[in-house]
Amino acid sequence: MLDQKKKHEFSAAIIIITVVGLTGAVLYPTFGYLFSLSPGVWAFVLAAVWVYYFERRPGEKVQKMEIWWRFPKFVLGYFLAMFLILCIGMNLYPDPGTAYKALTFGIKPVEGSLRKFFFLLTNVSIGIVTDFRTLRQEGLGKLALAYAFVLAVIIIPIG
Amino acid sequence: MLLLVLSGILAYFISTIDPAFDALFLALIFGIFFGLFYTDERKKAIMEKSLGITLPIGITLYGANINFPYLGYFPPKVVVITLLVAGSMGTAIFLLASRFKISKSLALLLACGTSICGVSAIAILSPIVRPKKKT
Repeated sequence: MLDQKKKHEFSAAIIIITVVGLTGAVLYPTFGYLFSLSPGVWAFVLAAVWVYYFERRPGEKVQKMEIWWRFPKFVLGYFLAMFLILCIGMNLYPDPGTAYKALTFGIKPVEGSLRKFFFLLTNVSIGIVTDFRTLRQEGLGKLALAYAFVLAVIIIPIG
Repeated sequence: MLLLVLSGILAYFISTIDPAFDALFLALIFGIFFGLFYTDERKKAIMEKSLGITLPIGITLYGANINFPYLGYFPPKVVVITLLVAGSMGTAIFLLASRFKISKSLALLLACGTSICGVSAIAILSPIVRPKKKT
């Protein structure tokens, strides 16, 4: 069985996700596309905050390289792809408006489908490697019921 | 791998029934469901490896998502509001989590996951909050 502290953390996490998730569900249609603009920037900010603010012991000197060691390097691929697309677009079309339209027409359908496919695979993998026995001990049925309730009463009616 | 792909395809088809059935969320649920019966550690290790391939590819493709080339497309007002909303959501979750005495690492992951882009953000950011390696 889980100890008291873990149970407390788990329950609190569920409450927070439900409350704030619903707020997010209302705001997402308007601002959602911008939320995920740059995972690299968020990763860098979090790495800096974590290393300098949370993990640092009093009097300890933190190495700047610690941020780099913790930074997930693969997000650099995000910037590389963005840079390449920008270079190609600007070289082919001098006007940014035309470049945007042409690139959107040519790349977006392929990129969008592939990205969705890879994120689907990612989420299935995350689900499979998650140790769900812990959650089962806490009552998986209750969580499923809560999700079904929120889906039927709040999310689907809001649309 | 077949299970992985089939689950993804199934999640996608269900999501076409109604927009409320989010394909990514369903994929996660299917993964969790199959994970319950998937106790073989070697197979789980394969899934972890596949996560190390699919997530970076997905993130890289995000970079190819054409949002920036035509900067006028995003009015500065929308960018500012978005940053404010994402920032205040993240801060609110972190403060709430601290109030509930959740550990700082979990609180930060919750905050980032909810205010940025969900489970993918957590997968990207989780290595950052891991304890330091002893040297």
